Amino acid sequence: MNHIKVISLVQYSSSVKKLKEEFLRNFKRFDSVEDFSDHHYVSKGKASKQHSKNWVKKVQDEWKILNQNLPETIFVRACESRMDLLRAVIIGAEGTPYHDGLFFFDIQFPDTYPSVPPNVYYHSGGLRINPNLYNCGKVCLSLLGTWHGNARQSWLPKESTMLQVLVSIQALVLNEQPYFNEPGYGLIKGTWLGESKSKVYSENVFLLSLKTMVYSMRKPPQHFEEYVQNHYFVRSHDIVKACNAYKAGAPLGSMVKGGVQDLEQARQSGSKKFKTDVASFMQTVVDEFVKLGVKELAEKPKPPVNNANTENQSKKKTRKRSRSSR
Amino acid sequence: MQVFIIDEDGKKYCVEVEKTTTIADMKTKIYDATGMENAYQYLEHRGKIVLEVHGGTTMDDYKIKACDIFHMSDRMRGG
Repeated sequence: MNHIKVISLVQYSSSVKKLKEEFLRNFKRFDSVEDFSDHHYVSKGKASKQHSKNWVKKVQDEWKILNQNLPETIFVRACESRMDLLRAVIIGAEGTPYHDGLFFFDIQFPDTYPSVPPNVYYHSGGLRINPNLYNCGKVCLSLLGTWHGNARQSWLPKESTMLQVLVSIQALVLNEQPYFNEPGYGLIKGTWLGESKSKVYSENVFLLSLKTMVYSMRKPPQHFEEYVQNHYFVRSHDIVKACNAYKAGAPLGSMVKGGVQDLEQARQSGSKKFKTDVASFMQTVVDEFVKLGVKELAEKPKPPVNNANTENQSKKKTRKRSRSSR
Repeated sequence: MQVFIIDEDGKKYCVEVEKTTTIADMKTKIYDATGMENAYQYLEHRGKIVLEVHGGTTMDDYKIKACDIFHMSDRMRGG
């Protein structure tokens, strides 16, 4: 009987995961929605506002470009009644401190668009996860007119598009070494000082990324609620594996999908503070995953070295039992 | 093998490369196809920028396969 139950449980878990994965595969990269009541720029303008013919055509062209060309890791929602608003989510890339995270951006096309760049707001939750993404939500880029740059680096009315903005944020902003995104810091790239500061910065960014995960699971943006839940459900094991690896001293970003470690990076090691911080915050993340319905997230028990470890393990077991009894 | 480039306007280009082609050579081919100078090309591949100086120089080093898609973006600065 126990054997049968075990088999049933395994089958149930795998079928649930398959359903979640299917949802993610079928989630449209670009789609239109009825309204945007929680959009950051909702109070700028009204649904009844009349826009010029050229503006409407340009926005529709933008929608078309996005609909046909978005990469696999960016999803966008537009609104028929509020054509000036967009919402985008970007998945953090493998090998970066943003890996597996979801990063939300609200976008508004001004009346004079495309003569001026779009307004972009990042759902920071008060966290500064990148030199270009302020904790107030400001996205600081020459392309958006929020930082100075030469003619080529700024918004070009006849060439620049929303697709470019999103692709640039993903690959150029949420990159492997965000520390060097700060103006002037690129000069010390490759030096011992620069690389050590960058490492510490990235480790801190990963911790903030974990907090961003918790933040978005607790309060997902409108029209992405189910996507957030399914994304973290499917990715929860990879995230926990990565955190366990970092606790064990693996360098940040060395975990690749499926829990395999990149051997080239294995020569380095995460800092002591990073190990401690990941260990202390990880339980919060695991608790959120459990609320999503994820099973079997428990860490593999290690042989106790001293009494403190024994106490910790007994505490973990107690928590597990109380959770399963719900 | 062939790889595809999508520029910021959504225009698609096809570029012929080999496993041993360097990133710099690929950018030259992209320049021939699009007119965008090498120095201004930022190529996104699986969510990351392809950089010649980081980790390798050839298609194989970046695990680039036939029919992979690159999004090309212009330069920009952040503060």
